[in-house]
Amino acid sequence: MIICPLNNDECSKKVAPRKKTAFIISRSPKVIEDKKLKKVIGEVDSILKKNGFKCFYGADSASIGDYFCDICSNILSSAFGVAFSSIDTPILSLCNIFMEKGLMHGFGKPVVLFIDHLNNLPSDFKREYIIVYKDRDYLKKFIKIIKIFKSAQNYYHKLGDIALKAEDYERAARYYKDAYLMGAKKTNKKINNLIFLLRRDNNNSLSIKSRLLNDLNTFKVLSKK
Amino acid sequence: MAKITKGGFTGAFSNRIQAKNPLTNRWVKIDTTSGRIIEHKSTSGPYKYIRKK
Repeated sequence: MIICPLNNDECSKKVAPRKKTAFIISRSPKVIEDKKLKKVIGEVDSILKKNGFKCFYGADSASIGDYFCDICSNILSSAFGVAFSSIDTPILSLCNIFMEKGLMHGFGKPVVLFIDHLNNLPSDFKREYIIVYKDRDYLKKFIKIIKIFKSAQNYYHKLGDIALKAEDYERAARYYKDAYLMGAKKTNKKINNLIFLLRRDNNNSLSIKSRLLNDLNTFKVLSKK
Repeated sequence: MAKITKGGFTGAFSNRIQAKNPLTNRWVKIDTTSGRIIEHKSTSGPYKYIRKK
């Protein structure tokens, strides 16, 4: 359950999962003055595309008025995030970047942070996927991280299978969804199996069962779009 | 099933399993009866006496 900060109530929005999508957290490349950063964003974009990932730019969903809901749902439908910040990023944009990065962490999605210099890194982010884009081997590091993210799909499948064996269907569903977002291939089969088991299950209460079934069926329908 | 002997443990714990989290490069201990992650290893290397998934 997600509590929406806009209405302090449970989020009722149905989010379409987007397989192999990276959420790019940065200012719009059109307004970035730092040439090096602009170049890095372009390179990151092409590496992600080479590895089969689509890029969704947070700045693209910015429209007039309050677009927090759009940003949040796009984050929820992505597999992981890539954030860019430098000393030249205006303070208001930095606030948005780190807010979106924090949201991604809250939803359990990993984020790679590109930064110009380690001295400009806030202390709370020191133990994460950090890449200093002024270093020579920054692209090598990024490719390595993408490989790690790709291998996470098997890990999520394993955890989902263990949870399924333990008849914790809610947990299994969560892990299978994460595996799907990371690009796992056999997730649809696993989700169908989960739905089959849920329908036969008599241990969980009717409300939990119907909520989970509804959730998984919505996921199946939306993922086909 | 693991048993306590004079030298320590023998055998593996039957209701525990471990898997390596590629995101952190650390092993995690999972309870197979509930499906929950119960511990993250803070140092490198797997847990002793626990089966690997």
